[in-house]
This record gives sequence, C-alpha cells and structure tokens, in this order.
Amino acid sequence: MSELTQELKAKIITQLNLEDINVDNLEDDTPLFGDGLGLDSIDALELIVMLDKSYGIKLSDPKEGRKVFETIQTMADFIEANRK
Amino acid sequence: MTKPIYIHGHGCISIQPTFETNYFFETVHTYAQNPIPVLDPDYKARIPPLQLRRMNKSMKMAISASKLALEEAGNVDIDAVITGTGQGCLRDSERFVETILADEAELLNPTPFIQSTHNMAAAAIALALGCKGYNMTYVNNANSFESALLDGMLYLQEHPSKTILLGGVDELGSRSPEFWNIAGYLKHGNSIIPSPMNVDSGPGEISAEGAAFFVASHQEGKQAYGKIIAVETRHKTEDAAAFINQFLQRNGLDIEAIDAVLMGNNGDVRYDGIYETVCRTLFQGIPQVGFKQVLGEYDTVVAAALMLALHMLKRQQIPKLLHMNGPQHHGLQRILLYTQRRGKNHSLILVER
Repeated sequence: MSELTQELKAKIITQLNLEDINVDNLEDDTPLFGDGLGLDSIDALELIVMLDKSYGIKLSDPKEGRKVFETIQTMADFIEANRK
Repeated sequence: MTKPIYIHGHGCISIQPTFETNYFFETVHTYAQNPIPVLDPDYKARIPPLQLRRMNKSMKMAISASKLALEEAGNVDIDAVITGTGQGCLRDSERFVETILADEAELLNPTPFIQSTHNMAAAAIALALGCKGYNMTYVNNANSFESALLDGMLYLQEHPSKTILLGGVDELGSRSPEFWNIAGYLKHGNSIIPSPMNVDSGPGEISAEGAAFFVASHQEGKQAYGKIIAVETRHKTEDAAAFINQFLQRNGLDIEAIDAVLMGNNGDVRYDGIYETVCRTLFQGIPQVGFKQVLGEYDTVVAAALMLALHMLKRQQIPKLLHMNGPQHHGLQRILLYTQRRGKNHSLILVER
C-alpha cells in the first residue's frame, strides 16, 4: 500500500503541477481539498482522468468522488479495491 | 480618424531583459539557437502560486506584463482588456490535440482543453485584475496586436473617460517549431542574436516569443510616454512605399515629419528586400532602427517594438545596437513603425512625443 501512496503522490504532484510540494512533505492523511492542499473542481476532473488513465477505474458517481478524493490514503484504498 | 491615445505604462517580457526597469537595449543577451524562449521574470512576484501552477506560458507572460504596466501607470483601475495573439496558447493546444489523438477523444484532461483557446490570456488578465468590462482578443496573424490597438483606439473614442489595458502575447509551442521548420519558416545556421543586419544570412526567421502590454487612455497625464496617433494594417500590398505614403498623407504628414523609422527586418533574405526598397525610396535620410535582430520574430513582436519607440521618445535616444544606418536624429518627436511578415500583414503605427 505504501508503494501505491508514494506513486499516487508523485502522480498528483506532476499532474497538478504542485511546484512547492514534494512526495516527502505530502502526508497520506492531508486533505486534498479545502484547508489541505486547496485543490479545486478542475483538479477534481484531472484526478478523475488520472484514475481512469493510470488505473482503469471509471468514476461516474460524483458523490462517490467526494469520499474517494478526501486524502491520498482514501484514494489508495479505493484504487486497491477497484483496480483492474 | 481616431483621436490619439496616451500610453501611461508598459510591461514587456521578451528574449531580452525588457522587464527590468529602464532597460534600453544598451546590452543584449546573445543567442545561437532557433527558436528562442523568453527570459522569464519572477512570475511568483506578481501571480499567486495557486493560480500560477495551472497557467500556461502565454497566461504567465500576459499577466506579468500587464501588472508591470499597471505598476508603472500607478495601479489605476482598468475598464477594458484588449489583446492580440497570432498563435494563442500553443502548448496547451498541442497537448489537447495530442491527447485527442492518443486517447481517441475518450479521456481529455480539462486544463489544456480550457486553456487552448486564444482568448485565455485576456480572460486570465481580467480575472487577475477583477476587470469585468469589455474583453476582446484579436487573432490576425502578424497583425494581431495592431488589430487590438485599433480596437483600443476606437473603444476610447466611444468611451473617452475610460482607461484600457492593451497588448500582444505569443508563446512558442513544443511541437509547432517542427512544423514551421518543415514549412521553411525557420532559419538554418546563422541563427544568431543579435543578428547582423544588411548581411545576406539566407532564408528563414529566428523564432521567439514574448508579451508586451500598455495602459492607455485619452488623458494626457504627466508621466505619459507618448501618444499613438494612428495605426493601419494591410494584408497584402505590391507597393509598400505607396502604402506608407498614403498613410502619411491621410495623417497630414510628409516623410520629413518623421524623425526615425522602426523597421521589422528579420534577416529573412526572401522578404527583407521589401524593407530595403522602402528605405531606399523613402527613408534614406532618416535614422532607421531595427528590433527583430534582438527580439526575434513572432506575430506580436510589434508590441515590443512599440515599447522601444516609446522609450526612444521619452529618452530622446536611439539604442546604438539597433541603429541600422548613418543619419543621426535631431530630436525625436515622431516615430513611424513599419513591419510585415513573410511579405504579408503589413502594418504602420505612428507614435508622437
């Protein structure tokens, strides 16, 4: 699982161009939206595309996304449970 | 005829350090490559990091140049944003198209899709400044900035008490230079900046990128750099000298009334002959000043040339490096900019002190 969280952090930093953040200072339980990383709705779309392209997981229910994209850890748990 | 507009501040990002205060081409960066990316200012100094991370090059350059112009003009409120761009946000357009091809239009990242439109820079400026007024982008190849300038003059004619921000921006793409190369636009070898003028350096241009923005109004103001009297474009002409003569006549001037002429020679032997003919027939006794030999070529480079002309008027000086012929000036009151690209998109801008 740790390998997956590390991989996810690297992908998110690259995909969302988070210049001042690196894998080491991004915690598994940091909230991705709101007071944590401060991501916005366009970032959410980028994450949906990333899930599909990198892990073959289609996220069609927006309500589901709210829980999945809470933290790196919740994303990793979701990927582990659903990846093809 | 439109009324003159006064320029109260400018910001310019180019392959030279034009974003530095009082830069006047006394020294220039040298290059031996083609294409040439801009010298980046500290974008973080003027754009919040959370906004900056998603911006493409055009947006960063346009917002930074706009804020530089506004700082110089005393951070006045802006009523309209008018931009010109020949190519728009090329890199995001390339990314968007490449993703369509790679994923067969199944999965498209939203950011390059949103930011692939040509009016993104003007929109980003408006968002950054909180300007909800008139917002327009002109895409007319090498006459894009001139079109924005003309619209700015017309806008101020209708709204004489308003202040506007106008400018031009063009970025280099990642893949586009390969296509330009195939089309024969780029210079091979002899790609040196500053380019030697009046020397046969073969066909092709040295491609570059940049942004230049201006704060303009009908109010004279104490700190104004100068005023723009007239602008005119012509897509094609067989007789550039006649085009220039007619323009001067329409503005009640003759050649002797021009104190210096800025010419868009870019070292492409296929088209520089147009400038040579114009110089020989009209401007032999007038100081001729180049700008593309240090700024490279892109569709809106004339916006950077306008900045140069305004500095020349204010300083009453011609940068030695850019002076292309013998005659010296006897006071700079009126400067004419003439440029064309690949034999098309001829334009004239008349600037006064």
